[in-house]
Amino acid sequence: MGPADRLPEVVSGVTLEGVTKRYGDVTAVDDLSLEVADGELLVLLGPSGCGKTTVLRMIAGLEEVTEGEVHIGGRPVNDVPPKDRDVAMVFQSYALYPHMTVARNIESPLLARKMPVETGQAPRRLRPPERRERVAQVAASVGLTELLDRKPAALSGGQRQRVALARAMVARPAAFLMDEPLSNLDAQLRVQTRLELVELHQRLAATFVYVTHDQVEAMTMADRIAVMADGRLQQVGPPQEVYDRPRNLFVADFLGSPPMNTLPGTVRVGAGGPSLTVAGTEVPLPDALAERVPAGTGVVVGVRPEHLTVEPTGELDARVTTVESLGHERLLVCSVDGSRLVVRQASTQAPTPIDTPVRLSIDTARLHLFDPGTGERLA
Amino acid sequence: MTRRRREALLGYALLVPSAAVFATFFFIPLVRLVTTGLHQQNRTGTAERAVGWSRFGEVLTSHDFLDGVRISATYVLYTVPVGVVLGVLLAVAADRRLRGMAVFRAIFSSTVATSAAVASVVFLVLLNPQIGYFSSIDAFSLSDPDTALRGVALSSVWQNLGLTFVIVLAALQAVPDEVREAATLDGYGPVRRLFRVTLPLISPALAFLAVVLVIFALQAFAQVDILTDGGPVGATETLVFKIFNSQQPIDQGTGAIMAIGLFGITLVVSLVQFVLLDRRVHHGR
Repeated sequence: MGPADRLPEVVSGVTLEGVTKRYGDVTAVDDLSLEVADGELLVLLGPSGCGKTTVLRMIAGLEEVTEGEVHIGGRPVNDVPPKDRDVAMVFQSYALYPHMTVARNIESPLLARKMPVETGQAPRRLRPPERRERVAQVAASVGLTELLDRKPAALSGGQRQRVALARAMVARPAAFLMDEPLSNLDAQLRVQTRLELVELHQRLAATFVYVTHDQVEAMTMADRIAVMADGRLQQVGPPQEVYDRPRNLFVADFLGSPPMNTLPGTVRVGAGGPSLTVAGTEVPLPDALAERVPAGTGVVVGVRPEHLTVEPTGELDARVTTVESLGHERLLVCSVDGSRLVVRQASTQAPTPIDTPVRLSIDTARLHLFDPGTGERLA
Repeated sequence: MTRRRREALLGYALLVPSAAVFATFFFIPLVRLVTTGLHQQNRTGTAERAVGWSRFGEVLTSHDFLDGVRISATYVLYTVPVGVVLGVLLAVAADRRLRGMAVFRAIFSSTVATSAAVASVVFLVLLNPQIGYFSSIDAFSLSDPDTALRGVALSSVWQNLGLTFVIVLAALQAVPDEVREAATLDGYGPVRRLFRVTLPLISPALAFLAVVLVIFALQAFAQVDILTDGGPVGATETLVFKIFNSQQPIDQGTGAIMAIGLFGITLVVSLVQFVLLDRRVHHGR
């Protein structure tokens, strides 16, 4: 196969290189580099004000980039106007045109934009019958066919959300940018729509950049999660990896509900091998962890609620102070040597009465050790 | 007394204050107008005799009344469309986040605080044939019967501009940023965005302005009185001005009927506007 046979790879991913956004003295996004692969669903996750929406708006072209470069489909787009970036955005408020019918709303991106229609031909505006066909097609795919003549005011929240999606899909953009699209839906509808969005992503095989502050959305939907805080990227990786090996205390605390338990500890090496002093008790430390942390180091010990179990042979002396029952599981809030630890327990296990002394066992292989000064992961 | 009755009495009692205000300032004057129209006074106002309803027909079809209607209608056409368009243009220009924009907004809205008399005096000077800044613009000359009404309209447009600007700007600022951004992403340029998204969204405010400006124009008096005193040769005698000029006791009946005529016209025009605009206007969400 000669080089001529190889087609240039179609890249419709999004790349950010050292992107910074400053408003006067305030740095909203600080030196962010991130690659979103073609067809990937990347979730930008972070608390409000962390800069994740600003990143999305810079990709869309609604905000100028102060420093750095944004590429879409391998093409630098810093100076490309929003309409020519081949992206569609779903806004948190949906931003539908209230004076237009559903059909006109969905048709809107087709009116002004030129798009490739026939292969080998120059992009052009669609003709009215072509537009109607596309609108009908997209509306059918999200179940809006019956509602095409209504105005947004006559729709439910979930229906409006689907109109916003249909409007984003109609121009078949290379990348979809979604700014907390589920946050205005009630809890039940949110779960359902979450699934539909994942299915939509699989069907379209398009690049999705999805902004949310909801870690459950991030965990369930993402191919990869990018965690942001204070305008900086904290960690990027597949959901399970970010959950299992958080790179710092912020990520450890932000991902997981209830969050990871943290308490101070010290690493020691004795006759019986390495150990960790935590909550006044010494627990053996696996070599894999110990070899990365010199003996005598003070650390922040992180342990997820599911890695603590109530066992008569457990290492820690604890007292149950509160029990939260969630149906399928319960959360025991325990007091251990003045610290508060949350234990996750399947509700099939025998309940533990409040105020009784119990012993907790730590799954030491799943411990996380962080630097108390920088918060960075040690092991 | 039954409970129902007591509640009914209380209800009426609560209506008394507003009924009293309405009666004093609306119903009684209206009835007075009608009775004045039904009587003819003598030259000194010392005696009057009933002349009956036939005079209503005579006055309302008289050349004088119809001429007043024509001039007032022309005045509406001169002031309302231009006023709304200019207000929208100024407000669109001022609806940006730019340094120092507050100063421009204050300047643009300042005519709200200007009375018709002040505006008229300003334009009397500006249009003065000897010293006026606009004296060379013949299209607004106050001394030519063909253009005098335009000169008067100019001062009205200027004076109403502040109000139009404030209302349109407030409406523009209520348009969600995200909707404008969605339009930007959809590829709408500034002009298309204005006509296809922004203006439809602020149409309730524009409808309100249209109604208010028409009523202002139909009631304009101070401008005419100060700038032209109805002249030259009656070319700017709007209906209100003619009514005002019917102060002599002998003319009062005619003036009263004209006033009722104006009231009727204003009422009908406003109702028609509300109905028409309500059908075409998009209200909120």
